[in-house]
Amino acid sequence: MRGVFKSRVGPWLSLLAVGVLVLVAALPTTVTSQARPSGAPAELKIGFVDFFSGAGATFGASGKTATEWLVDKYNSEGGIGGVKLKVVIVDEAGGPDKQVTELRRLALDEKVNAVVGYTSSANCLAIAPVAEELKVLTVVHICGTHRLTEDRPVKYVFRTSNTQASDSVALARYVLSAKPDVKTIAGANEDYAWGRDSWEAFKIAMQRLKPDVQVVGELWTKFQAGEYSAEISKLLAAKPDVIHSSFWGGGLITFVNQAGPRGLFKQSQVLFSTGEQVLQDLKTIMPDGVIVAPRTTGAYFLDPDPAKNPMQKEFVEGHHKRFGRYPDYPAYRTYQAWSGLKAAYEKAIKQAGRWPTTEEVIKAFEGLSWETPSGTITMRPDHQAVHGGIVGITKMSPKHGFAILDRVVRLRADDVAPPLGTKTLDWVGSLKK
Amino acid sequence: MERKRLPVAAVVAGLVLLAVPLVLPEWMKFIVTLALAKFLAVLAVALFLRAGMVTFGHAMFYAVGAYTVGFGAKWFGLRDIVLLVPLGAVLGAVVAALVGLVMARYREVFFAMLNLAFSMMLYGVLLKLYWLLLKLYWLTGGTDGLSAGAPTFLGYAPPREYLRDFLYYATLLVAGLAIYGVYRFLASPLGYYLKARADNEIRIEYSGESVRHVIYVTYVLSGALAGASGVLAAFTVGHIVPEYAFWIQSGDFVFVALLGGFESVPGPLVGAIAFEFIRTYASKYFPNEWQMTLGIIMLAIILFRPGGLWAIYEELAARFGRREREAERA
Repeated sequence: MRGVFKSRVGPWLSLLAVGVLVLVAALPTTVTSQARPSGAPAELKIGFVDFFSGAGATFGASGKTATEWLVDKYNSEGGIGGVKLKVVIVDEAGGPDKQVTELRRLALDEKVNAVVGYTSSANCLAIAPVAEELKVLTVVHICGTHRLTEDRPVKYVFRTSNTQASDSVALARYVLSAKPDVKTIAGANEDYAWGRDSWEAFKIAMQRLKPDVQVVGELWTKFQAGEYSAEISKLLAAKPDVIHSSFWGGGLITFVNQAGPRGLFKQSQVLFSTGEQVLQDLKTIMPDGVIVAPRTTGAYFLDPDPAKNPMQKEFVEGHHKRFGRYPDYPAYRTYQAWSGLKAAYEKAIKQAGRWPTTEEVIKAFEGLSWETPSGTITMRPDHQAVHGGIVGITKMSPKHGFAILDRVVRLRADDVAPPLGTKTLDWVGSLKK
Repeated sequence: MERKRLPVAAVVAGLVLLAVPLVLPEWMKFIVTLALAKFLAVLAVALFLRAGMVTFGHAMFYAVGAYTVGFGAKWFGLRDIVLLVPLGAVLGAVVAALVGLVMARYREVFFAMLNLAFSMMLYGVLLKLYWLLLKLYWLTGGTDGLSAGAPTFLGYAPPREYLRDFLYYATLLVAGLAIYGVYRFLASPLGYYLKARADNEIRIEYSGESVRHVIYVTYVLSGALAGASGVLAAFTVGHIVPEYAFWIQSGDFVFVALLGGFESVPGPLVGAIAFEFIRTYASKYFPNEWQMTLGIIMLAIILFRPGGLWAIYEELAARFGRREREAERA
């Protein structure tokens, strides 16, 4: 018995001891790399809520990989003010009543310091009053409805990216500069708030910017219908110059698959407001010459040029190396949310000279500008961020094996978002060139 | 002996529920409030399960109640819970009285699917009213939904920190009234006929009662219960979306009724509370597999204890009681 112990376990034990010693020796250097402000917690616990099941998981997957990459990066650099981040993930599927319950659990049971997330508009509208009630700092990363910050003033809720109306206006501006002689437009959108609002804003923007534009078709499909032959036939018959669509995820992939062979993309100029997100999935199926946007986000993985922008290079290469996929717009928007939260904490720490309260972080967040791979983001006092966006036209890239964006135009924040104090719908209705 | 035991259990359960806001942390209190609110709708579904009928459409009345709150706040500035709970129940009953005219004629899968069809029609309307009545923007808020706002209690708006307690006790009170009402209903001849329907409809007709009448009355009652449930759930959650009328919501009610056990009135209550806790803890510990966790539990209940959680309790109570009696004898 003793012999066995000596011969087998002994070396392992000594190896373990050496390992522990090495770790202990290494520890102080990482811990003391940054001075911790007084009153700092042992860790900063943050909830991340996104879709990990259902149709929306196509966004949630990117949100999660971007979060994992970014939080690991922050933690390896010492966290926020020397405090490491700990992420608690929650699935956004299950409806608003589940999300309201989950936010309460995050705030009161997990005792998170902040929450990042919410892709669905119904969910972000549902949780906003709860975040206010529980006084939990909530950074909304993707949800598109302008109602989040316009229905009633919010204090604890911030949104770090543009609204859905921006996407429609950006596409209208791009298509009018690329094809100034557009006469007829049509829309193919999903029959729920996102699709309806997207089309409405696009239609009004087009009519404002070019009053003689005619609407020749408004088609509504079921949520993630998966079968679009009737709509494609109608669009082929209507022969519009321009077709707008806010299809996304699986629905968009199916639509492109079905519309391509029938020549829809050759007949009309098609615009996809979320098109950038599916390029890597569609591979060679996406035809050239389709106008696509990463919603109104200021970057995609090739623009700004990673060779010239170190922050972009680090994100794109790091994300691709670890997950085998280039970051798409949900990933960039997730980056915007986390980096905004970090910048707000750091500013608040500097201002307070100690660990800040949530209210002090909120004060620091308002009016804050911070750098991301997708450019400078500015948080307005109404808690809605403004930033520019890119739009481009697809072009097959043999090097990547899927279509990339050509003729990229960078729209300024002023061109795609209403000025502070103006309601989004009023702004779209009074657009000028 | 049996007669004595039941009230004791009821009093204990009542005391436990009364003490919830004093003992449980805030987020658990919220879960119990939501469970109590949904319990009313589950009770409505359980009534039909007793009669051997399954409905996949009671989310319809649940949504009627919820949108009573949404529209009431939006158009009439109504947010008094004391007014809206009866109003939601009455509107639920009115819709049920209309739909019930058709439903009372059908049984089995036709009853289940017609209910589903009607609820999905309401779902479609709630979804589309956003746009159909042209420029009447924000009629139902579409899929983005409507806000419920904070309720008042007989005109009294409680301070923010006590609002959740007020809401809890209001929900508990309504749930208590519903339990009493349903007990009385089940103890009435109509209630016995309802149960008998599962065994033999023809015998009911021979004994002089119209089965269609029994089902119709039950249907109206179930509409009222689900309507009140919708009002309470809307105030608890604070946001109303068309998914309240969606078939998955109806499915959840059936799930909960089976989980708790539909043969008794406390069964759905136990089921509703257990369901909300299981769902929350499943997302806490298995954020990526929470739906599967619910599925496995459902499967286990159906395979091993089709009577639900309440049947497990009754079995335990009976075993315990027997041992007690043996001890007394010895």
